[in-house]
Amino acid sequence: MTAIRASEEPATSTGDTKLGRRRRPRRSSASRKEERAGFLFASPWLVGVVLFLIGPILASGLLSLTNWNLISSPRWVGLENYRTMIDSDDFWQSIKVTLFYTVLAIPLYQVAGLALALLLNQRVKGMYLFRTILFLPAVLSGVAVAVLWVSLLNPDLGAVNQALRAIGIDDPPRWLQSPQWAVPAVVLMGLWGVGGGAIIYLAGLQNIPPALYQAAKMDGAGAWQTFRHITLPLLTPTLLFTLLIELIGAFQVFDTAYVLGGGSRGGTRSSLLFYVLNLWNEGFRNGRFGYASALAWVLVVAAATVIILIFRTSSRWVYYEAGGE
Amino acid sequence: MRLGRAAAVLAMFAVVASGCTGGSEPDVASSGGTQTGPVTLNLWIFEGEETFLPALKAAFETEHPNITLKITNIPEDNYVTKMDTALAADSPPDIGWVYEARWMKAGRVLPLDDVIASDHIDVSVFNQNALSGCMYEGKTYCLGSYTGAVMLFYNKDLFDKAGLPYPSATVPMSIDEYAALATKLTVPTEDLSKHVFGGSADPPFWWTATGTHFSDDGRTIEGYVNDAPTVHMYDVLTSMVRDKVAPSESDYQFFGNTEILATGQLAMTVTDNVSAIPLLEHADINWGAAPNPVEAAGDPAFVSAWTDQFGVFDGSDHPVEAKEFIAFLATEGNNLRAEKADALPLSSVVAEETDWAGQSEGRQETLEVVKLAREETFVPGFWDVTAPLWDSFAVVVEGDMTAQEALDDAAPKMQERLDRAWQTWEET
Repeated sequence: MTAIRASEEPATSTGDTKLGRRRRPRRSSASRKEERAGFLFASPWLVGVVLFLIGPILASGLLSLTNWNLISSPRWVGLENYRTMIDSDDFWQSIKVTLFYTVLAIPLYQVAGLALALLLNQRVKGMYLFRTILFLPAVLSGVAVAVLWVSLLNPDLGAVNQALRAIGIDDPPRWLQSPQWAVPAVVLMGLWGVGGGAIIYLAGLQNIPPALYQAAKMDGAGAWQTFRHITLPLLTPTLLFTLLIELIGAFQVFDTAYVLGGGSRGGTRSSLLFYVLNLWNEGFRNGRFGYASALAWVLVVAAATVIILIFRTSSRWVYYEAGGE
Repeated sequence: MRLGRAAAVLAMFAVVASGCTGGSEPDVASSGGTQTGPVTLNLWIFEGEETFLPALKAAFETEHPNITLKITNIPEDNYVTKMDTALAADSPPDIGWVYEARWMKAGRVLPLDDVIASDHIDVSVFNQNALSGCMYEGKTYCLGSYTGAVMLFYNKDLFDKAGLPYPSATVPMSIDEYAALATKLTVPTEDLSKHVFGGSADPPFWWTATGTHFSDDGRTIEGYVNDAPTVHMYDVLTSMVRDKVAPSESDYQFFGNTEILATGQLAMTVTDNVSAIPLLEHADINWGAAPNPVEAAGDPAFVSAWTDQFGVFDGSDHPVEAKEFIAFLATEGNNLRAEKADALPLSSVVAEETDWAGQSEGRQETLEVVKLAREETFVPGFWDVTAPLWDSFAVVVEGDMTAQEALDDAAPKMQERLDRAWQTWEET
């Protein structure tokens, strides 16, 4: 019978045996040739990675220690850019906005995506049509969607507030024009595209072996117990995946903030000054590429820390289906 | 076998190297003097020149059969970034719009004084305020073909209907006079589609003299952005929005004030002649032009002007031919600008010769107003420094703060940005 158990390090085949570490066998000349050929064929990609990925990453680390406006030579300033950051109102505001969005959006999108996937997993006539319709917003351009929502969320003439007034809310939020409601408005807008996440959950749901549900049914489990003890645990790898993707997405909000916030202004009272928008402003509008590189590195370190923490704690809440022997 | 491996390695690096090489077009010419062989000049521009540039290209290529002008359109939002990147990579186009003064300061744009002298271009007939954007430390780095200017446009029919006299084309109104006039012109209705707004109101930093918000040397904000006359100006303008004398941001989110003026639902607005005149004439509006309102009665008029400031970038393979193109733009281009694009030329002589104003009263008034254009104080990073004022204006409109509180709040933020912008400028 297949068992469910918390994730463990997968068995590796490093060559270790009960008799101790085995010596690496001598490789034949053919095998060495094969290895060289492999590297040779992989080298265009390796060269590309070194030149266009690792090189720029290292360069940006160095640039973060300089003042550079692209057209003059960089001037070494040490950690000055990082010190400037601490005193910058825009830096702290951008962190506040990004965290507020992250805290608000991710749980909502996770729950909504899962709920939608559970509905889409039902055997109902025309389900493929529903799935297609709900996935459609996810394939639309972010900028086009943002422009549409600017219109819907217009505080005086928009459809959302017209509907709220129709149901008796006389003073509905001013959404994007209100510093308090701007981020919730962006979250609301993102909810529209939750079909993209739901498709991933749906794939996860359909990978759960039907035998487990049959066994649970035979044991007399109800719908909630089945969801709580079968569906949810076996969906945790998918939840981990979507959590990481959404977290990275939340740290990188730019196009929506740019369109909804009136360009680089970052919305009313900087209420939509997301971290990457601030970074872009500093680099590409203010010509402070050294400072922008420092901002980028802070983002990388912060994102990496959160992701590592999630991975480290994942063994406590992510469950994988064990082998069926 | 060894030979085969060596050939494979060479072939592989050839593939990689070819992928890294730009697709530059073969050119007979080398850097330096005039070329007799075919020359391709690369020109970078952003949207808005679809009528004029093809006509200019055709005329220039007819006169210089060995030169081909290759025009690349870049969205304006990305233009500075793309040019900065190209300059950093030492591969700028031959010709481009000199959007940033720091490019001149950094020596990345070539001075044009030699071609101005050799081609006997009389720059004294150009609008001097518009040309000031091309000047740095006494040298001229770019030239243009039109005069753009920010001024007050108004709908004469709405003035006639209200029985009010038109604003003067030479003496500016004070902000109080402007608001009073706008109030009289407003025709309020419950139905927004029929409401007539008397005037527009927005943060005035972009259409008033720089001294309204900054010190004379452009380095100080505190005490200027929040002094009594400026606070009063914000008070008056925000009241106009609250009283529905001026449209709010949410009234017409997808339309600018110029478009509302062209619909006949707005009596006056501060905008620019480049976008306003074609729109108003197309909509058959009986329009007029006047200088922008000022802080107090008796203050000198302020009109800011600019041109399509094309320059030659350092690194051009064909600087002589590129400068020849700029000279053509500044001379024949002014004629073409008037004839093909029907826009106000940079040269006042060409404007007169081509009879740009014709019988149009509005155009004649525009010519009067652009004469008032005067030099502004230079402020690096102007748009970034002034960005907090959009919020200041919005919070006063919403009634969350008084104008004094909002501007006092904005002053230190703006000063921080200004200090940074000056630092970046000085490091260039």
